[in-house]
Amino acid sequence: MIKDKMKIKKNLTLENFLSSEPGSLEYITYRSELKQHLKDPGILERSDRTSEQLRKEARTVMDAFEAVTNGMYNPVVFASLELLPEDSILSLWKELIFAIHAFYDKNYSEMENRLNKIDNKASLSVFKTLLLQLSGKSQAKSPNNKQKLFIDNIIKDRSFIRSVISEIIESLEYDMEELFLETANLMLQDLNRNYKEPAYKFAIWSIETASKYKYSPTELVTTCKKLFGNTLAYRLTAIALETEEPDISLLFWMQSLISRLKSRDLTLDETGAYFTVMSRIAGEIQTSQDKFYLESLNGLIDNMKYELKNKFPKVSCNTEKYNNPFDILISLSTNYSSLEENRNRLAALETENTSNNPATSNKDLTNISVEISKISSNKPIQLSLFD
Amino acid sequence: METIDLLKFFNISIDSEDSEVEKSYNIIKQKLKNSREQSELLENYNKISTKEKRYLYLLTSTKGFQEISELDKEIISRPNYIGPRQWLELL
Repeated sequence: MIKDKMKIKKNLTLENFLSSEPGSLEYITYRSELKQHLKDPGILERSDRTSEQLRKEARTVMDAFEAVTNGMYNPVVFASLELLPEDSILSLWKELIFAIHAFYDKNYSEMENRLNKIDNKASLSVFKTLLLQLSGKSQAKSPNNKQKLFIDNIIKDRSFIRSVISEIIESLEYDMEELFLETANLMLQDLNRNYKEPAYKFAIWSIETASKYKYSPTELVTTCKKLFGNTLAYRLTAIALETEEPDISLLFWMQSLISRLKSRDLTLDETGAYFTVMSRIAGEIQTSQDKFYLESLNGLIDNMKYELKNKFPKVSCNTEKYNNPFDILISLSTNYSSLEENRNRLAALETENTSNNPATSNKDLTNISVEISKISSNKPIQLSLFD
Repeated sequence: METIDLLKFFNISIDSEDSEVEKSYNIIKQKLKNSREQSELLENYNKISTKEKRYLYLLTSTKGFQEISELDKEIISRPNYIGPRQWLELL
């Protein structure tokens, strides 16, 4: 009954505001009332009598609120929200959203600054009390049942994570590959539900650790692909393997770029950034004796060049001058990247190739004699992952 | 400094114009008196001064945990995200 009355009052205020003459005393009064007690910005977006500008602002607030309460960082929406003027009907929502963001960032002074802009009589002031309590900035008052549940859900005990961590440590201590992979996989899936950034960091840690212990990280990479999508999964794997297995890391960087090349929004700037990373690694590796690895690398280069030609037809990807796949990557980087370090790397490569130094002249890997006995058959990552 | 923090620090996004980033750099620089802080600022600015560098920064700055105990600290002390519905229910 009370709820119904409140709903009627809310609708009346909105109706009154929308019906009154802009600039009139009534308009100013209803506007101020709506600003203080607007509990759902969605009503502004849904009403067909709201101005286009207000509807747009309401959409921004709703998107930002959804992002901040789900732990997703959306710089575009946040930048639009920051532009919302002080006198907007939605300005208290703006302050609340930035306060929530600061709360999760543990930036409590910023949180307080934002909360101080919310009037104590405003409907949103309920969050003022709760956020101050949650951050330990004010003494606990006696919350009602709903508020208690809200607080519990936000600071819910995560002690089970500690037990999983103990299990992971134990599995490494006793060299139990299966237990490590199974537990890391479960942890990855659990983290991904609530903690995106820590999930990425954990993915990198677990793949890197598996590689250090000579465990096969294939299962972890497959889980990452399912959870984060191919582009991000390949990138995280590339980062994880950069120190221990730079050659395999390079393949994952290339695969991440190929996957990105298939999406519409890839720019030349981002492509250039990928090439800078790949060129750095290629410059460090320079050569490989592993026939299977070289076949994979050459295959990916062909695939990548095909996608590059489709995506950026005006940029040349002619690499006829080079046979060594690592040199091809360094050479390509100067076509797609504007960074000086890539041009310097290519210049150094060309100087090296023309110096007639017997130690470096035989870098044409198409003629390389592969000693089968030296081929590592135990690469911990299955290259079939790229299929 | 984390990726997002650096973009936030300069109050820019990946799609900001390079001139906006430079402007932001100059404003922050004016507030810093200490030469060490100024050189740190320049170092950070150089990581994100062009759009390609910003992408490079975003691509490579996600780091794994050094030790698994870092996950413990990060998660245990981090409040849960509960989605918009539970917040709105309090109103």
